[in-house]
Amino acid sequence: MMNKKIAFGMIVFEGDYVLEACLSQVYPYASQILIAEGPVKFWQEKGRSTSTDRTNQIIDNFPDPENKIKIVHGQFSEKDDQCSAYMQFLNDDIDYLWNLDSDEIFKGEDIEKLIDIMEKGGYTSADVKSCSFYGGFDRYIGGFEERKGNFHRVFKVYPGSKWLTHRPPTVVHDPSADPIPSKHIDGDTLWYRHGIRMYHYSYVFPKQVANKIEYYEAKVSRDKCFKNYFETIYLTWVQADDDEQKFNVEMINDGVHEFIKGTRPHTFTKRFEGSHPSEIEKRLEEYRNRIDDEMSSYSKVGLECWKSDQVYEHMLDGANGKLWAKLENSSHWPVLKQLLDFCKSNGATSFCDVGCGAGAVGHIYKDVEYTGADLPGIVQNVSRKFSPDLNFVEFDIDEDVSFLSNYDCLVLGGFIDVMEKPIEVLEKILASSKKYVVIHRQHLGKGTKSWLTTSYNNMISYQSQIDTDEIISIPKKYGFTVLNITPVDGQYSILLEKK
Amino acid sequence: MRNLVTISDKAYLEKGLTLYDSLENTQKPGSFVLHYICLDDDTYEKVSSIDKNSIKAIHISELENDNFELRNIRNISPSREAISNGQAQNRDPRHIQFCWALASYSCYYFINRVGLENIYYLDADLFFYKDLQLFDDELGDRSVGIVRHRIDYLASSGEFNVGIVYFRNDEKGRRCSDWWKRQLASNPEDNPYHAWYGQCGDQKYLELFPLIFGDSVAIVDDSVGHLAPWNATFHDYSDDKVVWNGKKQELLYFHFAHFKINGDSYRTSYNNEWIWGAPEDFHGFVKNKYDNYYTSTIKSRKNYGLNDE
Repeated sequence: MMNKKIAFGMIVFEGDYVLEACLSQVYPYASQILIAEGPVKFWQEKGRSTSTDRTNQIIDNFPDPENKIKIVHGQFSEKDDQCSAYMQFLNDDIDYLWNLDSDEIFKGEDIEKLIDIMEKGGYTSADVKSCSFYGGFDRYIGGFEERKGNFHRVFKVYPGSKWLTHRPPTVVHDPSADPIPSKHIDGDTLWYRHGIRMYHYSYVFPKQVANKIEYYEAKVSRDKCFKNYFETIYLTWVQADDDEQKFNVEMINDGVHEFIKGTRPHTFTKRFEGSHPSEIEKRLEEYRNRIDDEMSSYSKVGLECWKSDQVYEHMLDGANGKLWAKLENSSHWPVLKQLLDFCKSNGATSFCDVGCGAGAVGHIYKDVEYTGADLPGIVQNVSRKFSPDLNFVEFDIDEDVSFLSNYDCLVLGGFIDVMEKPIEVLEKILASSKKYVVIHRQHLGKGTKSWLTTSYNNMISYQSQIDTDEIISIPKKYGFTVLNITPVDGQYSILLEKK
Repeated sequence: MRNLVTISDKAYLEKGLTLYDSLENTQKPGSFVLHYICLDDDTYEKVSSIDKNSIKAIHISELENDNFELRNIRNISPSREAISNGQAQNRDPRHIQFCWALASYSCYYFINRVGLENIYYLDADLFFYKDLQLFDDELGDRSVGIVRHRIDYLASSGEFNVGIVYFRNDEKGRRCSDWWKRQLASNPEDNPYHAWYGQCGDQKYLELFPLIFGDSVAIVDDSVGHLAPWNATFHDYSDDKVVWNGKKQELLYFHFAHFKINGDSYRTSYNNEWIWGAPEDFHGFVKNKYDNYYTSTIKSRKNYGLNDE
């Protein structure tokens, strides 16, 4: 057992998730455990004055036979203020201050090893590599999250040492202290050479993630955070049926971290192969049950946002030009118009806009018999509101589409492009098409495939690509000839004619 | 115990199994396991059917599910080199980029994820003549081992050849394999080393190993003989040994790149691409090795019931 004295310092607010395990794990190695509990300003403004979950019950009742624990309940301006609140209790004989969040767990043997390394090597600070679990206990976040330097945790202290800041955690010493020269040991060295890392249960419980994202969006970096992260990434990932689908979710934002891809390196997950710290292992079943309980309050996130009633308002905003240019002012409208004009000049009079959304095409393309077709919810809540004078029919591509044969020209604007199985949909439509089919804004490339992406309000959707050979061969099977393929904004518009 | 890893799809399976047979014939019994990463189901089925402790089939999906970073390599923007290779081979450049990443990724997987005590990456078209102890003797206690191309320096392919790369599971070995993997797993535009060292898939990054990891890296060159079609003409031959830098060396392995069986004979290049001359015409020693490799490949085909397509 080591002879150096460690004080573990913790700030916590509504962090009851693995708090008991965290305290149990460090208690035997601690000379002091200093805790500042309470909300920072962001939560105070939401009416909170202290934790409303089990946090207070856990810290106030944690067995403390050796009288190591000191707790301050309060309300704090920010996290720096909260850290300083517990530092007043730091004993003068403490050698190391170990900054500990309530979701960070260290193995007992690693605590001993790390202090031994610091002592023998004359190190005055250490950062640790984080094994940040995601959506449970079986996978953790790689890439950016594992970078050295992210988590400064252990500091050599002297009488009068204070927190300078929490971001990144930095300790300053009293002018009267006579500190040894600064020397830092990084998380890569601790992991690669000594096998020491931090087990970080930070993205494990749904409520925990929802709160974390709410706080980060509001107070840390709204611009860097992925909009609608909790539903689109976290919930969809946890609800995924298998690794394949989890990976597809991760593809949306180059991994699972809430920062937008492009603002950080990737954060794809890895399978966890090791063992959890013993106090976590003891409680795994309880924790898994909690995740299940919390998840049961969320309905399954659909992978096609078009089927959600959350999408209607955003579709109307799009049609009204609040999200992007109105159709008539867009860069792709001239291409579509040219193809529609061709059909019209060759005798087409009845046009069906399949997947019409708000019916913007019917709004601006006059002098034809226009019918918009879309899912019942979209027709009732979007199409008829935006275009009350136009004609609409309710349909679902998964059901009978034989009514499409009533029209001379089918307009598929960004319709097949959002399908999981583009060829199946294309074939179904072609089988019921009379004369002309305009596929507007479709990805073409080597191989037919689909993947998950985001659409209105970052809600989840499929996007598809049709193989460049198949866009010729499939229509041919149904008696169609490709008359024209025009590139438009990285996609293509294709005109098919039945001979 | 030496842990060896090679990688192939169905098209390269006969090369991989010929390599395995050469290992069975040259290494001490019980001294190695060849971890065979199978890029398709047919390869996995065939390798799994070999009932021996010295070979272990691993489906590529095992690695991809272990770490989605690898899986994502199939989707990142292909480099200029991958695009030009893809055009030359009529293959998807993203697939080529994925394959280039696998040597580094497999080493990282076995060292950093599975925790094996060592790993020797071997290209599937190697053929061994001696025990790997020869390599280990020169390697000593260092953490990483690489070999030279043994040709006049070409900036485009670098000084070192990726045919065999060794990592020990110690701090420097773990760091180095992780570093190599990261170069191949990152978007080319995000990787400052890519413009110069990414010119030849995974291979040219080996030039940075000694620069970054210093004395932990052994350049195994002094006592270990190894041949390839590009360097056969740079060697002399004497007493059934290769002569390199004036010193006789036991031939540990031959890297039979671009070798193709053609009916009852064989070709040593795809299209006379070896600018240093046809290796088999240079010396009887080399011709003899090619003839022997042809016979061994035919034998492996028969042993494992592989057709010749």
